[in-house]
Amino acid sequence: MKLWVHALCIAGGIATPVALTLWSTSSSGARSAAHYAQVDATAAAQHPTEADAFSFDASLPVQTDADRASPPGDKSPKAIVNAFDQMGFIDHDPVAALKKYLSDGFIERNPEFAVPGTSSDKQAMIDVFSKRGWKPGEGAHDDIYLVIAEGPLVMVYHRVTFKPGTPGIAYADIFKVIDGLITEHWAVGQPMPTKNLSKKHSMF
Amino acid sequence: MLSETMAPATHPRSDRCFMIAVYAVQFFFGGWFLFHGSNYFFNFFRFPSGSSVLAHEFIGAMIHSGLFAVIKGVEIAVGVALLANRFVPLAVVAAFPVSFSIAYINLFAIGDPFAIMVSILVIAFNGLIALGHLDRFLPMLVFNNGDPQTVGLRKLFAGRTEISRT
Repeated sequence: MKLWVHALCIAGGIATPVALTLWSTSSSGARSAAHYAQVDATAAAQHPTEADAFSFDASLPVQTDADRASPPGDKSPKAIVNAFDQMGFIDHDPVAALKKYLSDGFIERNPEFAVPGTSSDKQAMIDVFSKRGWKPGEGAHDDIYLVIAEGPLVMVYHRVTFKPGTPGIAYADIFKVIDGLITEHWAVGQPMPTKNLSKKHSMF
Repeated sequence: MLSETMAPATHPRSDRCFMIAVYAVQFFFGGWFLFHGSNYFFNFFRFPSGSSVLAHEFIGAMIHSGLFAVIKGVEIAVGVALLANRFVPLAVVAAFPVSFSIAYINLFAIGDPFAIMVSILVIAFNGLIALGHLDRFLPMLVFNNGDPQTVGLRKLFAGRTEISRT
């Protein structure tokens, strides 16, 4: 092949795909910016990234600190549980709250917190929450929606997230309070669905 | 080069047409690979993130793992070789996994008419260039390969890589 023919072939070989690519990626082409924007939007909708904040429509309002505040000296089960939640999970000092509000004979019925080999269920809880992400700045967050009391029992329905913008877990915690101390705890948790499967009602 | 590999005056007209067709595809394919491979590093046009959700995820995973940069490097090397008309059989072999991946993603992960056309063309072009140098690959098609030998190594280090094309 002569040199000038080869040079022409190279020029043509580069110019043709460049022209075709510029045409296909133009506004009228099959791979336009609008086409890729549509794909990006569909991908983001189907697979939300960490940057895409999770949101849902709750029928219940998130309770404020004022909603749960009790008069000074109130030793009712609801006031004790509210004070325990405030110190431990709203103000992010769970170990202090566990030491202050759990009785020595505390019974833990959530297997997640039943640590074999610990001296007591209270100590097991302290061990678990010493390294569970509730220290200030560690990102865990608690939204309390309902606090219902009946006799010595108090139920708290709330949503816990360990990372901002993620769906988190819906928990129903039940506490038994005797003489101003929490003596027993039940809990069930369900991960929040990334999509509202009922299409009508969110979990809250 | 043409003068070394083909002798038009002594070959029938069909051979010359075939040679021109292969050369046309070779230079187009080389330009295509060079342009699209370079685009990953220089962004001549908007870098395609995949034309379907599956392709989007697949390409994203390759980019984040670093594999895509390697593939684009291979595309550039293949493109340069084909445009320079040097190491063409080697470039054809190196291009085939890339061509197969492009065709597979376009056909099964995207599947719109443009993608189907791209998948057919990339395999057809790669295959046609390979056919133009099929005599280089025929030794690979031997059924009874025999024992491994050092003949190839000795030829390589002696600089005797050419085979007769008469």
